[in-house]
Amino acid sequence: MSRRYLVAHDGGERGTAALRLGAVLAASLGAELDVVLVVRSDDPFGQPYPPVGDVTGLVAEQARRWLDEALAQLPAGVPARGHLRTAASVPEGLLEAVEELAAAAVVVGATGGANPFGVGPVARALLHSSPVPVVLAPQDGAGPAAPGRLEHLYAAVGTRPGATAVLEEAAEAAERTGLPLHVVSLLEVDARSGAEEPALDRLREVVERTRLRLGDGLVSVELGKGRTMAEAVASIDWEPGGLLLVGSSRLARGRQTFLGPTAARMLRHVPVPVAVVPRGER
Amino acid sequence: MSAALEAGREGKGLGGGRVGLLGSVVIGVSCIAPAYTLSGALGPTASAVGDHLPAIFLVGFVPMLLVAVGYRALNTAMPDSGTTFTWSSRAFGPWVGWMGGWGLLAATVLVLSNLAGIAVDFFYLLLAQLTGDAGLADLAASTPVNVATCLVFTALACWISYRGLEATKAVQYVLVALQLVVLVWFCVAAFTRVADGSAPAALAVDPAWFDPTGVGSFSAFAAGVSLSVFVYWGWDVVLTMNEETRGARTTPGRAALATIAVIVVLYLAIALAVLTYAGTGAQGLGLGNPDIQDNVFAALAGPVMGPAAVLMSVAVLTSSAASLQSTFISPARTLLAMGHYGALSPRFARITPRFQSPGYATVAAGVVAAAFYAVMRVLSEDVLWDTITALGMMVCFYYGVTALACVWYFRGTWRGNARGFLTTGLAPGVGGALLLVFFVQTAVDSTDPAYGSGSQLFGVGLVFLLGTGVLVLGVVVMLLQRLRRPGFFRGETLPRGRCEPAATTGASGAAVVPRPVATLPAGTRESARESARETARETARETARESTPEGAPE
Repeated sequence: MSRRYLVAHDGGERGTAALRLGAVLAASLGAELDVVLVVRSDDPFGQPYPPVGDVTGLVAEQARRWLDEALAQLPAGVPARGHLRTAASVPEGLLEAVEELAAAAVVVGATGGANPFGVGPVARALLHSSPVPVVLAPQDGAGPAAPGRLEHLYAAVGTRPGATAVLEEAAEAAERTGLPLHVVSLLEVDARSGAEEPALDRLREVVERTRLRLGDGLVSVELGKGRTMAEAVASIDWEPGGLLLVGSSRLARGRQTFLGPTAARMLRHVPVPVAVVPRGER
Repeated sequence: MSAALEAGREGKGLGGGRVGLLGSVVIGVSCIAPAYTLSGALGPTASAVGDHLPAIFLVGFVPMLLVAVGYRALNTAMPDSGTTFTWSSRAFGPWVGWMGGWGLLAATVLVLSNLAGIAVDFFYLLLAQLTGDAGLADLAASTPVNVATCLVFTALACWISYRGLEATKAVQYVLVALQLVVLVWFCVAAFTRVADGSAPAALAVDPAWFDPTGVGSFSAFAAGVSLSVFVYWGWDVVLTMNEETRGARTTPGRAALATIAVIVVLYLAIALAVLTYAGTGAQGLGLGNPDIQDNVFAALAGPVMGPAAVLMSVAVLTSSAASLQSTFISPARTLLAMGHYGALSPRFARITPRFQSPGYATVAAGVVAAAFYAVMRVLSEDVLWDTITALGMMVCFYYGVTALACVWYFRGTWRGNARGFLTTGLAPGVGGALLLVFFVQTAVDSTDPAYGSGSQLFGVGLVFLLGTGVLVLGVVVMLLQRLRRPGFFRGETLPRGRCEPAATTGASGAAVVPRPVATLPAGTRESARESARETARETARETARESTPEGAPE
């Protein structure tokens, strides 16, 4: 059975961005899509004051139309199914769907609405509790002009120990697809910082192992440095059609994603879509 | 967000078996918003019926109860977002249905502007109490300040509602507890002052206060009942939530009884407290004094509760602010349903993807309510009073129409079904007829320019213009819609129908009645919508459905 990616659709811009990225991933990685639209159910404690009818049915009907439109938008070669679900909250419904459909990853539109540098509430909730990788789709127009296929894989490796999970995931993906893997380390260095050398050593060691596994031609190492994360990110040469894999914070419980502060700052500046990978070990 | 998730898992969802008895009562009480409704309606009711206030609060409940029984039967037979609009369209055809929907809309817009007005009054009163600067409370009397504050409140509530945020379980428990505690405190304090002789009137409770026949005229009686219908407005939600309650067979009934008990006892206690404390004189704190009538608690809380009066301000302010936010949902949903069925522009049926709320309808309701309040405030000194009185009329109108729709829809199901006849025929019939009689009587009386607060326009009482004028405006808008969107008025989207006798199951009376089969040929708009709604409901029950088996979108 092939891998299934869950695309979180909402009928709006975020959903469209997720859908587009989901199609690219599915075409490139040979996955199938489950497009899921979660309709929030009414909270009985949130009753309107003069009582009126329940519009959940009308919302669901509209949602079904959105879902059908979404499926119609997908390129012909991408196998996809649509699911309309009801849950108390959108992230809750998505997580239930991930479990039920045994999805390998969840793709979600990530823009933060009023806050241009933030991550939307649904994406944030997923980033803090998803058991599978969360792929954040940037808004249309942000990042490289929507490529039809994935061309490059990037794996962000921290300088502290424990970053092997993300590299393994990336190596596995590179192996499967034959895409070039760029191992990236982003350092915020100020004048006093002297942590570079040991960090680099560790990085080299990890990369060597990956290189052994994948063969020489496919792996490259890039070190992004700058006084701020924005500068560090800008110092890397991001290819169009890239996808960056980022590991989850050490604070994550078990096999869940948890967005660490460094990764959160990274997200704001990276021009390619980002996938946050849960920690591998239990 | 994860905290919200946790809360959601616990309390939200239509999954059935979620809300217990206490929760149902809390929801019921929060939907009545006792602190707010009493603050607004106590004065106008007392001015209509004088010291027979307790009698009116007892009697006024009866038509409400009768109508609620029919409301429940309709809700079970035709669960629909449009409620009054849909039901009366099905029973009486599009014209009556449209006007029923308009009555519901008008009532919710009126209550929005009244809520906002009460919230403004108590906002400045609370500021004055907190800072000790009595001058701040007078700011509410300045028309520009009042209107500007009100617009800010309305915009805020509209925005919250647009984003689809709802009060959660914890918030509702706190709000309801606060209201109940403060209102009981008010009663106890008032009776204490009566007992120790420090009350201005210090009357003894008179059994004649409980005698509804003692009310001077039928006009006064009708006005009083209209107003008490408004104070009980919202109670029926406990009956219609049956699918969400834990133990769906017994809980709604018990919750309804418990809510009734809580509310009637509370209202009687408050009525007795204010009567014995202040009397109905036209001077000072007397309920007959026009200066304090449109906001009784604002005037009485200080003298009765002393420094603790600040709690009353907090209770009424939070009650009206919370209601203000949840009240936006009502007209927005009705507009959504009317737009959906083609009775209004389809723009009203738009749903904002990100928030899953009827965005256009919500903003439209906010703009209308804000504009309405601003105009009213300039026209009338006592806008709160007049909107409350007109509101009572409007609730009588649309509840009356709904109740009669129930009778007409179920008329064929009564043979050999005594219980069905009682719940879908006799009770709503009597209740609806009473409400419409009270509506007509109040409408006729309110043509007098001296009616209500005494505000008038062109020699006609403002209450009449608000109550009847709004309905006439509805007729005009309806005729315009008829020209633009004839489909709905030809019954294409909501065809007339009636409940067939064979469909009724004896055991639960009229409670279980399948939807009538659409008589139109397959493929019409109606049947498509019908099936879409069925689909949506199925989806709500199932966990997931696949729209297309594998790939290949339609």
